[in-house]
Amino acid sequence: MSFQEKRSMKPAFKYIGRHRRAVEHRRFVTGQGRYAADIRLHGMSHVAIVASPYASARILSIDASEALKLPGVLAVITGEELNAAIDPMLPGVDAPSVTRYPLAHEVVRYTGEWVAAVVAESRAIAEDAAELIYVEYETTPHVLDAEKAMDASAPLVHPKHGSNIIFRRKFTWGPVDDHFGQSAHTLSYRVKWARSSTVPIETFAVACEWNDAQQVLDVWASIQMPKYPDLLAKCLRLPGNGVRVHYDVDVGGSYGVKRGLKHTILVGYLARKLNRPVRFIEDRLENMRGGDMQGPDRIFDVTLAFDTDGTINAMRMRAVDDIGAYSGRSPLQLGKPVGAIVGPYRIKSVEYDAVSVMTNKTPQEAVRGFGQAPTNYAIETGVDKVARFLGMSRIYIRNRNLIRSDEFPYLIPSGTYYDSGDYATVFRKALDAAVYDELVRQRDFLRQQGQLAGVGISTCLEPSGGNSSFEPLFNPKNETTTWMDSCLVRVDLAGSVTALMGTSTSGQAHETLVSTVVGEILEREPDTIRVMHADSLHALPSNSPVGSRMAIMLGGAAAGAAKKIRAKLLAVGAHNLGVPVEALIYENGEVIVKDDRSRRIPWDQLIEIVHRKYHQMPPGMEPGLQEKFVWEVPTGGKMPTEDGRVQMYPCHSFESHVVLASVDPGTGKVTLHRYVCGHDCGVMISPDVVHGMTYGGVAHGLGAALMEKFAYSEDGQLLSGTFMDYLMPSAMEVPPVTIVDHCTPSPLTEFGQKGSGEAGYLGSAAAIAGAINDALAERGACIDQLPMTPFAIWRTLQSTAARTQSGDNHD
Amino acid sequence: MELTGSQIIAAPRQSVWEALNNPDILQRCLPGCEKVERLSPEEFQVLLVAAIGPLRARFKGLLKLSEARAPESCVMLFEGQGGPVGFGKGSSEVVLNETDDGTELNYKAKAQVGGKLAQVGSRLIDNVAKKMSDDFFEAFRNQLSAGRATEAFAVPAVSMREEPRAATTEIPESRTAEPVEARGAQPRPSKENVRRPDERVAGLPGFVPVPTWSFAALLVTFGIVTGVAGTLLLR
Repeated sequence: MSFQEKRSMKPAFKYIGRHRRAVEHRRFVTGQGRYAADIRLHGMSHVAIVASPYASARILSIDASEALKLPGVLAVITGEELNAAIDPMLPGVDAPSVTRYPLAHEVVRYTGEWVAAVVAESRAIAEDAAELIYVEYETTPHVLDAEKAMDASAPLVHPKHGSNIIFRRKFTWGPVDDHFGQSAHTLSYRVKWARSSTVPIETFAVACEWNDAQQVLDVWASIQMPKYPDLLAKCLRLPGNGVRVHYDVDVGGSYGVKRGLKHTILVGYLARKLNRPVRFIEDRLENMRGGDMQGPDRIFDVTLAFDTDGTINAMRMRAVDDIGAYSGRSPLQLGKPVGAIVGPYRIKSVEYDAVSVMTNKTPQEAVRGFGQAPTNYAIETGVDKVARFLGMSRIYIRNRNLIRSDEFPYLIPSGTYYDSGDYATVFRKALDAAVYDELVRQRDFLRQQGQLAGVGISTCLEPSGGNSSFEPLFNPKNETTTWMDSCLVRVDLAGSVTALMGTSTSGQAHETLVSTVVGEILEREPDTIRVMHADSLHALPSNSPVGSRMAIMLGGAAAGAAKKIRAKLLAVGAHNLGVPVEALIYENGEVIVKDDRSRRIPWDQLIEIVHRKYHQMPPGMEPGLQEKFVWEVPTGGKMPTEDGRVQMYPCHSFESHVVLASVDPGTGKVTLHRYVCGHDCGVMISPDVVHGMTYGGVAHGLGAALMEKFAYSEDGQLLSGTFMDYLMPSAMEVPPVTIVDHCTPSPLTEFGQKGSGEAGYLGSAAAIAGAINDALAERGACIDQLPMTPFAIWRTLQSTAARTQSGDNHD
Repeated sequence: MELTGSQIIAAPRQSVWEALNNPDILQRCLPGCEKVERLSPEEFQVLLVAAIGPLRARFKGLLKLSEARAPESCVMLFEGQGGPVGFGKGSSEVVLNETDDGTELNYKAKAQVGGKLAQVGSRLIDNVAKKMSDDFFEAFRNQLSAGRATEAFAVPAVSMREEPRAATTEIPESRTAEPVEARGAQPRPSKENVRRPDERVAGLPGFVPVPTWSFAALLVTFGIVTGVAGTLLLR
């Protein structure tokens, strides 16, 4: 970064954008984090699960008699009892017969589906007892391939639904046919994004205690989920205030997957039934097969229409997503990409056929990016293919099609305005930092050494500030347009500031975020500000940290509440100084008369007035100092149009990845030599936190690109259900990552911030895949599916060589 | 998946066939087998304990015979429930050929496992299957070879409370492909085996159509997942 750029990016802020040690680090580094598994309740009992070994079967009988004889076993519960006592979890789309319960009843629909649960005095006893439960099954036909599942003759995962397609809608935004007709070329391709996920170190954990005197269910869970307390109360047939979720537990990683609603319903029911605390912690096997945490699993069929000069005019995309056996919010993961369906490019019209299909696999849940990373990979692969087809450089093609910085706000065909951006500059900064020409020289050197080597490039969007727009878009019966977040700020008698938020945190450093923002507005040292996680009965409504929204939404809410505090202090100052509010300024917690700085009331005195001296308060003002602010997502609150156009997310971060990779032609092993990520998420409130997210995101995308896949056998058995087979990147695979910042402030947010929780992940898989295909192109080979494992690469090289050879023979 | 193998047993084909038809002999040869119970001439219930890495379970299995052509060949169908660790099921086609050295036994098994066995066991099961096969054939040979056909050697069952290796590590390693001449006409001394000379099988019964149930059980419960590794490679 040049000096000028540094200076132009220098924030006009006191605390925002400054280096600051994250508040949370202290407890994590000193081993004082407090997770759901750390909750110790008197008389706590423990749960073990009996799961289906079949992908599809009828349950003929369940014999728990031996288990119940084991000393220490408190109860064995099956779906027959549980499901009659609760309401089902419903899918996010209009498919009321696709109901889901924590325990299967009569049929099982995937390997790993919960069939029975044992509660015992200890986990060990519960597990021993689980091994004594015999379930008799009769297998029924299953379907595992999403495309086969769409066929009318396929076995039905939910016969009552009448089809395995749970959602399908073809959107046409703009004159797609005309643009295809007018374009000089079209190019069709298919890419596949494998079922992978985030797989946090902490599996899902939940502890519940039923307080019979208060008639309230207390819940401690490693949760990251909007509307969790409401849904839990509804399914358990309790009043909304009959459930109290304690958000003050640390969550050991999530990025979307900590959606343990079914776990909590089961444990909550058991706690109430037994009238004693119950805890369930997934072990890794449980987590991976039945934890409902596997991510998007997609086949994209794309056709691009473009001109000889490289201008991409229109796109047709069919995305088939295999959501597994049940539906939560998974079909909606095809909905978020509607808001960035053209990526950062000026593609004028789009046809998008979104198909969500059920198969006999573990259900899919939200994973970082909510479907955007696969879509970005599909678009970027196409852009590279167009460049190769036209014999142009991938840099040229991108620069030709990137939305220009003077075109914002930019309306894309699907109805979303991109708020701001300077894509070409960020792209250039990434190329400069990588020293692109040098990278090409290194690539060619590696090629001379006998390696296959390639450079990968991606330019991708991160829509941020998550809201609910995909809900009404994908479900006509859903009119949710409110997607607020909130914060309460309080100043006590001693003048200390405390802020309260109503959600859990899974590593996003919300305490750092809120204290920095409140400190900025009130001009108080952020480290003196305490940030608390309320429980769900004390909290203001939050829609939880999803969709890269907390810097925008929680940050905005905290700023709003702090501004109300500041306004109140100014009013108190005006009343006591005998001047109008307009004559005052607020500086470092003091109220000062603008024209006579000697006339001022310091912080301590202002606080004393509002807490103790009612006689000095302006008439009618509430005593004390506590304000809340609830903020609706900016640009939110609108229903989609009839033809399916909608403002999806408000803010759009941008990232550009440049990577140099080599492939060992003998083994297919990939090495990444240089990695640069240019990143623009507007004003960074906590740069260290943003950089941490981005770095981890790059590693996450590396896993999706090269290693991670939940693989199933033809029988529907999960074959990669341990870390021996589900491979994740470690320090051995992740290269040093150079992050280059750029700042294009968002006009929609308090400080110009955008989201960054999905940073790195949204563009790294596309770039790494591009680098490998650049390397394989030397041999005329190409891979269009992830993960590009050494074996997949090796096999592609072999088959290409064989094809070439047989082609030669024919000549 | 498919698992194939071939064994040379220094005994006449008829003896091998009959031994394979003898639940008592097979129960003794098969590590971990606790019980074999005939439900009908073609159906047997099998109870055996298997340990694969961290998984240990008692399998309850049903064995069915089909296409039996004594003493040459048959097909066995097996389905075993291991409770929470999953299931194994499959079929095994067995052919016995007479050779100069005795009998050549060829088997071709197809099978699948499910549940935790598939999730966890895919990395371990190859070796477990190999080991169990070796143990089985070693014991089986000892039963059949050179006039010892009626002398029973037992491989102790894998107890639920006992490390399985304790029962099996002492059995000498035998390569299935090893030519039978290497063993000579005399059986290898079976000092490492737990010998119970006083325990005799009470006369070989007449034709009982259960040849190779042990193979099916063996393969299905332990070995059959070798193909899982192949499937994994297809990822």
